[in-house]
Amino acid sequence: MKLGPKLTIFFLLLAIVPTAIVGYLSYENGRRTIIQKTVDHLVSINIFKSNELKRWVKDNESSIEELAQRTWVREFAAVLAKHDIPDHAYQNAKATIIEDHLKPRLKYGGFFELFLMCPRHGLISASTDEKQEGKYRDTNPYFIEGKSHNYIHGIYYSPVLEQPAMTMSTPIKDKQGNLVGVLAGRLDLGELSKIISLQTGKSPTEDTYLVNTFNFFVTEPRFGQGYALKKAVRTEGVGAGLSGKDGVGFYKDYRGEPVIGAYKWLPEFSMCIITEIDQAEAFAPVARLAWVITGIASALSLAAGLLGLFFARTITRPLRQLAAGAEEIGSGKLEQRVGTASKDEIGGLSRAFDRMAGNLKTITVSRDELEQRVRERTAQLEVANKELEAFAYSVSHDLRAPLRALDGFSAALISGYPGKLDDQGQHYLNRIQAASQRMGQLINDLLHLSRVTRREFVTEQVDLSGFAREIAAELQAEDPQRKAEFVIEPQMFVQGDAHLLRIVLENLLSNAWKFTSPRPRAQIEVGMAEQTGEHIYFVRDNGVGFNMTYADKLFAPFQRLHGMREFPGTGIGLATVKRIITRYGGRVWPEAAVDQGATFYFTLGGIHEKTNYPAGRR
Amino acid sequence: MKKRIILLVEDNPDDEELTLMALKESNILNEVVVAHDGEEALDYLLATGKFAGRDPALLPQLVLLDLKLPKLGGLEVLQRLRTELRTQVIPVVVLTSSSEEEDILSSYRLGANSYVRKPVEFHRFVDAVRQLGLYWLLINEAPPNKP
Repeated sequence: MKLGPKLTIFFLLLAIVPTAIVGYLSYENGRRTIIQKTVDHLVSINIFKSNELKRWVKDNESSIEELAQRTWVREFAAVLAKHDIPDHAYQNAKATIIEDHLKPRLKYGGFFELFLMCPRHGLISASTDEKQEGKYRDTNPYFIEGKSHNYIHGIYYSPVLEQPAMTMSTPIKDKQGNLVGVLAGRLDLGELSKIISLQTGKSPTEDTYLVNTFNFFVTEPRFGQGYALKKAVRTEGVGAGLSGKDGVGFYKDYRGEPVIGAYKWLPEFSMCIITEIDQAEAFAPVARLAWVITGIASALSLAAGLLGLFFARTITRPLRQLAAGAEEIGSGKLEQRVGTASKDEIGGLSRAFDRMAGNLKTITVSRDELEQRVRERTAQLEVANKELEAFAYSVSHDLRAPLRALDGFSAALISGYPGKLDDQGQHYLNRIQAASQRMGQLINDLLHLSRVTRREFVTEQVDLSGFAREIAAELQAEDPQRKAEFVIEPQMFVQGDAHLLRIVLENLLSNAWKFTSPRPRAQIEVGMAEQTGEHIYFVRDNGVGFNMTYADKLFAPFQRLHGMREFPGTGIGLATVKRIITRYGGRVWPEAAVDQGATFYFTLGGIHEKTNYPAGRR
Repeated sequence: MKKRIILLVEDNPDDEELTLMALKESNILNEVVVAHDGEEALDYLLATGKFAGRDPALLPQLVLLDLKLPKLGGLEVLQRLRTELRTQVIPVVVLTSSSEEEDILSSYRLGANSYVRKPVEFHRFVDAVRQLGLYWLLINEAPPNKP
């Protein structure tokens, strides 16, 4: 990924992550606050309305109590209780109570019917509703309980009224404290409903209602008509409220709508009050909050992204320049410079890079010069080599001619002038001839050595064992009288130049042959040993050997460890061997002691080895 | 019978004398013409220069050619000889001190009939010259000498 997008993404992340966290926390906080507020509101409505309810009940209770304690009411109630027959006094008392006391009270509201019951049989002796008079209420709880104290018969469905009803009763006593009647009043539940369903605010879904222990609505809910005491409601909130708990919950209401509801058990009424608000409404501010926070976060992220893009461009432009410069310099244009003027780290890097390019150029120039010099030297060396070859050529030609003359003319002297020279003269002439012949041999060997160095390698498979056998046979044939034993390891194959490798074996074997000549039975071995993966070839003899102190001198041209009289030779053989082995990248070294024989080891530098012998050559 | 001339191309007076001595010792009594450099050899063979008056039809029976010569080298002389119709078929024996492979190969490529390295030892040199003379002058059937 390129630096530009990387930086942009980095900035974006840098903005998004904290914004998201802060946004989420704010949202959570806001949501909780809003919900808490809603919940508090619902709970306070419940408390407020239940207090209203209590107050309404209390007011009516006080109202009916006040009626029961009026002197006239007590006296006339006593009259009504004493007289079984509706005589004049009875009729008068009844009319007075109804007209002067009960009916005026209805005008204040609260009750829609007030009636007086006879303490003995529960007979309704006086009522604001004439139709009710003469009926017995002796089994009704409001009569039984009302005889001794104030009593409220909770909201129930009255089959008589064919509607929900609530009846309040209180005892009437005479001056002596004897029970003379029970005053009861039917409460107008419409008022209760008004209190309960009174809207406290502008909320379009806020809904308060009462539910009794039979799960029936007691008051009309907001979204229902004629539900009171006709329709059961079994929601989570109602269940909790009826089990005596106060609390709040999230559940589906009687419509199946998700709501937040507060429920409160009202033990004095054996009912619970429920206040609910639609979650859709309650959460509307939460959703708005979410939108606001998302909007702010998006705006912040966008700003951060743009900022990141801007920074990325600011930072990557010089970097791109640097990269382009590096590319140019890398492709060999060492004169190229990035040349950034900025004073920041990237500018520093660019300047360092330019310096490096400058140094590189210097180094490259030096290297080119060096290479040029090497080429020149090589050319000079080649010229020198050519000159040397030419020199060797003229040596071969020019030095031989005078030698031939020396030999020829001394021979002519010897043969052409017999008797003219005495023995001493004859001897000197012989010495001249011998010397010239030896010099001829030396020149031949030298040329041989120089040719070994110049010869081009021709690489092929070479059978060293075969060569050794051939050379051994040749040596034996030259001197058939000598007793010699050759031990040659079979199947030594190498990759190399047959001609040069044969020269190596010829020199080593003829040396072995030469230096074993004093032995009654010569033993010469040609073999191979393997040491740390390297093949070491050797030629071993039981000859006169030599002192290892002089081993170093062996391989220099014309160096000899034995006198000419002892063993003839020019001292060029081992030098030739050394040259050939060196050209192969191999090593050659001796191991010897005086009179203990000698062994010459050599390697061929590894790369020319071939160990898997072809079956055809066996 | 025509004279069987031997042309010896040799710049070294020692070698010239030794060769003549060897021929004499080998009882080869043919006339020997000596050219001391390549130019002279060509002049003789082509009857030009100081040999302008010579009958060009009269060609030597054998040319003994040294390689290292002043003015014109032996190989150049050989190359020139083989381009001339008249001298194309003359037997040429390269007689030289060089035993360089390069020289041997070049000589044969340019049409030498034989290549003999002069041995340093005189007795072997005499032997070589005698065998050469015997072979090229007596045994070998020379090309017909026609103009």
